[in-house]
Amino acid sequence: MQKSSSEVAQKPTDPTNPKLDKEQRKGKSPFQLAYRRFVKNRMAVVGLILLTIIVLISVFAPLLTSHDPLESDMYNIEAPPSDEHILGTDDMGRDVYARLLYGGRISLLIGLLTMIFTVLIGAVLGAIAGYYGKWIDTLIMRFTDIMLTFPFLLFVLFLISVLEETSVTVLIVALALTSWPTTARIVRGVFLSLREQEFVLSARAIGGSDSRLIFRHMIPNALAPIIVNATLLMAVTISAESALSFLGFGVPQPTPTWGNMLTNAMNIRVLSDQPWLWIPPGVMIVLAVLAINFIGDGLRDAFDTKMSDNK
Amino acid sequence: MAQYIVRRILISIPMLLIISVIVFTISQLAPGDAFTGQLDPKLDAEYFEEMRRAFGLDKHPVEQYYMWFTNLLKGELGISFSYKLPVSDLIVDRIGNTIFLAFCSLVLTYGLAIPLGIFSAQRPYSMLDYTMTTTSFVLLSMPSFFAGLLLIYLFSFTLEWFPFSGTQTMGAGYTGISYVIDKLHHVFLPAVTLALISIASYTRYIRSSVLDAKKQDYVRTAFAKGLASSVVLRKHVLKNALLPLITLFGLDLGVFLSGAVITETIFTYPGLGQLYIESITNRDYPIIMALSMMGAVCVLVGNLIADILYAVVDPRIRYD
Amino acid sequence: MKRKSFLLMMSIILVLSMFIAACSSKDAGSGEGKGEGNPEYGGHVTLSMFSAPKGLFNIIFYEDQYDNYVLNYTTESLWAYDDKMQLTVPLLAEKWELSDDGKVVTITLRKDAKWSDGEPITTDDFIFTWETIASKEYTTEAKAPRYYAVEQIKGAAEMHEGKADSLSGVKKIDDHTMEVEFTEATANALDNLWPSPIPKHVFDGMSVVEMKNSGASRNAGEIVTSGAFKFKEAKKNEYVILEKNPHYYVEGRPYLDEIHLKVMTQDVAMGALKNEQIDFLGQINPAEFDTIKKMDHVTIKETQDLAYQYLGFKVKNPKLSNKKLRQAISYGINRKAMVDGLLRGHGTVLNQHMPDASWAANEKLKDAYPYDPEKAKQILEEAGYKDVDGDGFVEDPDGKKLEISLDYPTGNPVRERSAILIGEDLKKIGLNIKVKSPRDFESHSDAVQKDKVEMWLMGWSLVPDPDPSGIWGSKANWNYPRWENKKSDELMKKAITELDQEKQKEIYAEWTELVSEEAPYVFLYTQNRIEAWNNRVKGVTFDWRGAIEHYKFIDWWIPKDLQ
Repeated sequence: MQKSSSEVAQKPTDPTNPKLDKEQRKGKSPFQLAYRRFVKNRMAVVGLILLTIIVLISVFAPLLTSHDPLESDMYNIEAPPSDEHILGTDDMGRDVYARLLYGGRISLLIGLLTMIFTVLIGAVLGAIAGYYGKWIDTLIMRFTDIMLTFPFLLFVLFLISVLEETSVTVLIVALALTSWPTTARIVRGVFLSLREQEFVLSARAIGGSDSRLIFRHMIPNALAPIIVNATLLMAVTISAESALSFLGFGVPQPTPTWGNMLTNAMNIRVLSDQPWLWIPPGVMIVLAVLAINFIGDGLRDAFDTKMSDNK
Repeated sequence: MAQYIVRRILISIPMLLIISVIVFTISQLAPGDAFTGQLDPKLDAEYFEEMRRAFGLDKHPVEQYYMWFTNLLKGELGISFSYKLPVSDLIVDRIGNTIFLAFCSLVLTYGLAIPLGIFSAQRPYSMLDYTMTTTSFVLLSMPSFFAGLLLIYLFSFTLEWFPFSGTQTMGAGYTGISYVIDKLHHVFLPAVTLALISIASYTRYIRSSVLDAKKQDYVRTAFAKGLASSVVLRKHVLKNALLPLITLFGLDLGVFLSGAVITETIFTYPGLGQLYIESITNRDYPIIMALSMMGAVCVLVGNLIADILYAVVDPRIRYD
Repeated sequence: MKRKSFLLMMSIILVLSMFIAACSSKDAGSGEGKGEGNPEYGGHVTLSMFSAPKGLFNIIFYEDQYDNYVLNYTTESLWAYDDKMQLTVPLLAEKWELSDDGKVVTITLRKDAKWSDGEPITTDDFIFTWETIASKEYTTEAKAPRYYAVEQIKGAAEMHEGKADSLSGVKKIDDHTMEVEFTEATANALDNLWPSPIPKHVFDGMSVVEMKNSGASRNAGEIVTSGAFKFKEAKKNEYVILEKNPHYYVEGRPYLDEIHLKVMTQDVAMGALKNEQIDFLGQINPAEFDTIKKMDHVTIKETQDLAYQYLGFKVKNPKLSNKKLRQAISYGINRKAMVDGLLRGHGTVLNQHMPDASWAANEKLKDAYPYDPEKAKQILEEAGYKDVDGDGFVEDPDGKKLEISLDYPTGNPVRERSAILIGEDLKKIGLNIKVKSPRDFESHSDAVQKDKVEMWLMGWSLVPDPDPSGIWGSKANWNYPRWENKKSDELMKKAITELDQEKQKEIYAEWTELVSEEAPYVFLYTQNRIEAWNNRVKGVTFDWRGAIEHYKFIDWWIPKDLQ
């Protein structure tokens, strides 16, 4: 399984080091600048195109296949690819192509929602800690440290085993509950440094409220590292979903996900005799994670932030 | 420095205490226990009550926690529900295998990632660099169980080069050097599987830090002085670019247990990761709790080592 | 792990395997030598284990299925079942005789049987074994689960409560003859009697806990065995090597020098069979049948297993208390499709607690409840279940919305898939079934035991002795449907005290029909036991218990040029 970003963030890199770029002085917004740099990065653009295609085929799955991904046919199981089933059928006689498209929805949804929840929890706690400092900071960061002490995979497995059943919701909750500390650390780091900067100090001097300060002045400045972190988090989550599925704690049948499709195909017989069962989901997972990693990497270079330096 | 270390250790104590409470609480929240899954029409309800009493499962949670924690301090990790053996014995049986696996995978990682990273950085943005970057990204994106099974399929069944399970040849009774070779032969595929992802990410890390170092003023100065590029590379670039790697070692130490879970499962490699998964499926909480605590301690120790090493290699950092 | 399937089901199988494992060799000679040439000595076979044995190699203490798997080759018992599931094959017991009232059995042991250290196996060993199991410490201190296997011996209850030091019902006549008195005469007294000895000369003087933890139960070098093989080497969590027991009493057996048992995942075991890295493979997934069949060097066979999967109803739940509804559901599930599809035909649709393989099976129920959605709808209609509000789902006879939940555990991929099919099928007859997310097996059984479910899936593994009272008795702990029926209790009681098997069969026929009519379960299917072995191994006997755990493993041999 991929090393989680939570491990990465424990590295003793200095999280508060926004270097000023030469171009930044020309008066363009940092986002415009980042955009320029991003589109110049060939791999990032390829990643973006790939991801867009993957998202589109998942979203428009009903237009791309007439098969129901859940409809089983006990008398046509593990059929090789044919005109009717272009990627064959699985062990319940369901259309692999349809499951691949619909499965993408679930896999991406898990990635996306986990990312959103993680960022929400992490950003709120990190912002509070970084903005208010003092004992609040100590309290939150101590808690964060403790959470970071649990090895990611061990903790997720522990949580899922306690939550009894595995469903999409349970997975998202378990993953979000274990991934937020990294984000919290990053956001707190940014806030700590922003707090002392002139524009914040002056905004405060003219009597800006806390919430105004946080939302108008600080959050926008913390966005870049959050975005980079969130992107990479999505890749980790999609990967984690398949790993958990392999260990028997993934999304249960009949719901298709790339992870459980690949897991079902993981034995020597299928590897040698039934490539249509394992190649498609395998390729989709690798492509999706790859695309997201490309994008994340591109974003990091574009924002020129070292926050989520993935080693 | 010594003072710093002592302080860090002191801070760890309340953290471990809280962690132990969290671990215990989670295990209490779970419905059922190791005996719920044991369906045997020959056994009556009375037997299960006796078993639960024998393991102290009928006591109040607070009392159970107190017993567990005080035993923990004494170094007793409890008795496994399913093995009915002391958890510490089970861990001792397997920890050597996991450390050996982690060590081999580290050797592979550093042995491959350093030359590859430097090589890639030598000719940035060349065809070769792109190929290597893309390859490492693909490896980074492949679920490790998928990679592991492909490796087994390829190298164990198609080519028959490597064994696919265990740590040594059954009944061969090797000694001395052939014993070591046999061990290495068995650990190779699991170690590669475990190392794939870190090789990929370390290569990229080294590449970018070498590139960074090359842009530094002192490197330009060295070139300006007319030093041979190999000398500059060795004396100025690499020294500065690779030092931080030492600290990564400490962090790797902290997560080796996590990484081993999947690899050991695929290769039926009898280590702690496999034990953890087995205990999760069997609801063997004494083992789960002990290994979770162990994982946490590893991370704490690993972080501490990382910080200390960082201070040692980078004289600019001072802890007080 | 996802592949906990077998573990889960297997926790139940302990019961079954206890008997099979305990069985061992007898004078060979039958079923061998047909076109396979003359047996040759030497060589070893390699077997796979899908998870590591726990390493407690003592027949009265083990709890792990793979400990048992290993013990199968090292443990001899009194007797064994024949190929018709009758307890007739003499092993350590030369002969045995039940008294006319069925309460006392006189057992005569072979005089030439020896432990692997050369000591003779005598009645003292058996009495010592039974008294150890009956002792209070055995359950309370050593936490071992086998008291039930001596429970019916007179005086066991007193020992279990700590009121007696010996079994009053066991009488030693001489070193090779003993009498065992039971508390009551039952047809299955011998089936239930613990048949495998532990060596008294090794364990005497130890407390029960010491026995369990002693090297003689755990260290390969110290374990003294009664069977054809003894321990040579055991590498914890990796493999076990057994070697020929030179003191084994059957003349000229075993042929093999060694048996190797290696831990590997089920995912790769088939590849290992193909590459000839293992010789035997058990618990084969039906999906792999055809692939293995195509391997030239392998023989694959199947037989109906003594196990089944079922859909249970909590009959005390008002939603499910109506017998008609339960019958309609029985008609409404396409079990044939499950067998044809999920099991690829390697299984049977089941309609009773007794699988066809059992002598107690009721022929008349073979085709009870065929798949008939129309009939199912009709029964529902007649019983007052009608779709009043037009949402496509029927309401209960009071016109209230009816939604029934179905719980199932993870672990067994075929069962997980059958849950989905059941949901689809029942939708077609107008029932609103909520198929819940699966839970791990422990949580699932917890919920089932505590009646927190409505309908659920689970399975049972059975022993050759057909007595169903442990699972079906009105007050039985394992009567999960909480189906209480006086008539059923009476029939079960009557069957067990009837010593004539033909009459017993008639009583069971009446009982199975009653259960079928009341339908507290929908019996789903039994999956075939499929096993395969490399053709280089000769002399393999395969019957209802398969080949791997068959007591005739002592006849296995390998031609010299293939060793």
